[in-house]
Amino acid sequence: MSPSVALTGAFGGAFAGAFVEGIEALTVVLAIGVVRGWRDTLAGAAAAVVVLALLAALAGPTLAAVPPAALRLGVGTLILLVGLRWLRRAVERAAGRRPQRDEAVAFARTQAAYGGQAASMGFDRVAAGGAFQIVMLEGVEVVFIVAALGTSPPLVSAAMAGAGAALVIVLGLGVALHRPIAAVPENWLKLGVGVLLAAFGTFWTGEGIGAAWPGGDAALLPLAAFWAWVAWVAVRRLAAVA
Amino acid sequence: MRLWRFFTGGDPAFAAAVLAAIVGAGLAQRAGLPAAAVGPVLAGALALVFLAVRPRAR
Repeated sequence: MSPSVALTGAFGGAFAGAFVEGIEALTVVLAIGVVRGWRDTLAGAAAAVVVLALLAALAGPTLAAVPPAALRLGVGTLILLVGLRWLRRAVERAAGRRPQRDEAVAFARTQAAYGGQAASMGFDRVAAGGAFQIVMLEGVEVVFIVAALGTSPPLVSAAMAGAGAALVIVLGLGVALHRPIAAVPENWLKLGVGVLLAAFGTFWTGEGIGAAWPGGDAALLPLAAFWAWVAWVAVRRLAAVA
Repeated sequence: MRLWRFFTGGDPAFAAAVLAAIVGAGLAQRAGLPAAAVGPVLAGALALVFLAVRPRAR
């Protein structure tokens, strides 16, 4: 049971994380492409994908050289810092203290911002630069989530498969629809990813400081349930104050 | 600077409280807390931080 819990968590967390980040990047790339032209927009996005692939390829061997206990403590701490921040923002959205993300609004805002800038005769640096920046920004988060959830070779494969599947679906939907994907419960997915990151972060940090989790990897399941409960309490408290 | 912001989310007080919870659980383990209790203590400390530290006003 325990390996499947960890594998399912890594796959599901990476899938949901890559899905929401992919949708956010797709919205901006689509908006830039529509108002500035596709050639240089797609060139900027492709360049970012290449840089991200190089970063991921460099990070793997570097992390493999770190002693396991130190790696678990270091990675667990970083997951907690990012995951709890992610969870807190999702809690604020669920409690009505932060606006829900709306891809249609983001699309219109980006179109207005990029359409108002002077057109370029040759290589469109504005389009390429904008697409590069957003794909790098969201892509770094996806690489981090995959690295965070994949702390052993089987988990790396599961996390990469989850992220890959999500990105293929997002890309396919973008090509097919040619408009932002607004009909996705993005904010709830973010809440779920925050809960999973918090659970994995607690688990790995605990391993790093010498905790013996009952049931081994299976402890991830009650940890995820615990963080979901904490998030629910936080939403209720924030909503009551609002 | 951007890396710092990526990991702290622009809220260093929250990040510091999370780090303090981890260091506290680590020190408790060094002081003789049973290994089976370290995980629950860590999870509880982190949950308290999560619920107690209010988001920075925007």
